Amino acid sequence: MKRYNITLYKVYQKVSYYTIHSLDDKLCETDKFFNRFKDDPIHLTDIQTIKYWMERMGDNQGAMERHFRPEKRAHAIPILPQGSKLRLYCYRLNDRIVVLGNGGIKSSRAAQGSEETRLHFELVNSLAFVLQQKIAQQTIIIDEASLRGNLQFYTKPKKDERDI
Amino acid sequence: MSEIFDSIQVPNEVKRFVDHSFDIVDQIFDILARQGMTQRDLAEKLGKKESEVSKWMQGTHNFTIKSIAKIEAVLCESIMTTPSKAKVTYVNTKMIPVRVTKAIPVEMVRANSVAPQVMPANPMYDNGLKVA
Repeated sequence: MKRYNITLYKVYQKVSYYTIHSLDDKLCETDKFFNRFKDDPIHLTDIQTIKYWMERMGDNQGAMERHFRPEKRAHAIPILPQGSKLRLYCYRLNDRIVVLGNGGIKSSRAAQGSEETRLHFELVNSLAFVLQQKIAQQTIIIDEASLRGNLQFYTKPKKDERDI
Repeated sequence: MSEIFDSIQVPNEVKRFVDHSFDIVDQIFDILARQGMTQRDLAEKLGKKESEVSKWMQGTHNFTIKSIAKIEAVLCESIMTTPSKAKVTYVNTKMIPVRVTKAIPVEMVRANSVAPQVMPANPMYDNGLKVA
């Protein structure tokens, strides 16, 4: 069993970005993503685009649904120009709250079929399911742009699960 | 708060690219709302799948001038303008403060002005300004 906390990642006027942080890891999932690609010259522009895309939504229009790509229960941000396959998975709760996960290079048509993105895709989909349940049960309360309550969840490891 | 995220420097070129993409998308959505249309309607008018138009609306699409022109043509409105064109359009339009006490149809407060290319969706000026 792997336990995670949902913690604040970055707060802007219109959007609070949360992240997922495993209790066993030093870095949260989103920092792992940025750390992996920020010094990679091939993906540097993509990373810069994602960062400014987050800032722009955070400071201006909010996390509008149209800016996210649906990925089963969760979402991915964003489809980048020049055919980039880099994906950052997340769960957009509403216009003011987005929970970011991890991501990677999607090498197949479906995220589940890509070794590098499958676990991250599954993790944010688990998170989306758990959040929906906890909000329905009122163990998590949405307070404007904040989440309050029990922000811990866990996932059961699959037999071929490994850390990326 | 993330030091790793904060350490990423974003060059002006990238900022301008994302800003332009968002501005274009926001303008398209304003026009669609004003015309009572949906993203699906726009896709149909363009002969595209809704999923493709949906990808354009995410704020990082690299719109070509050709695709902007196509969208403008089907919506019958401008999406983009240049500073010099905007200057020509709006140079004779003066905004003066007024106290708006009740809803006034926009036709009643516009007078002796060069018509802007895009009329506001709201039938009145509710920000305390009117076109003189």
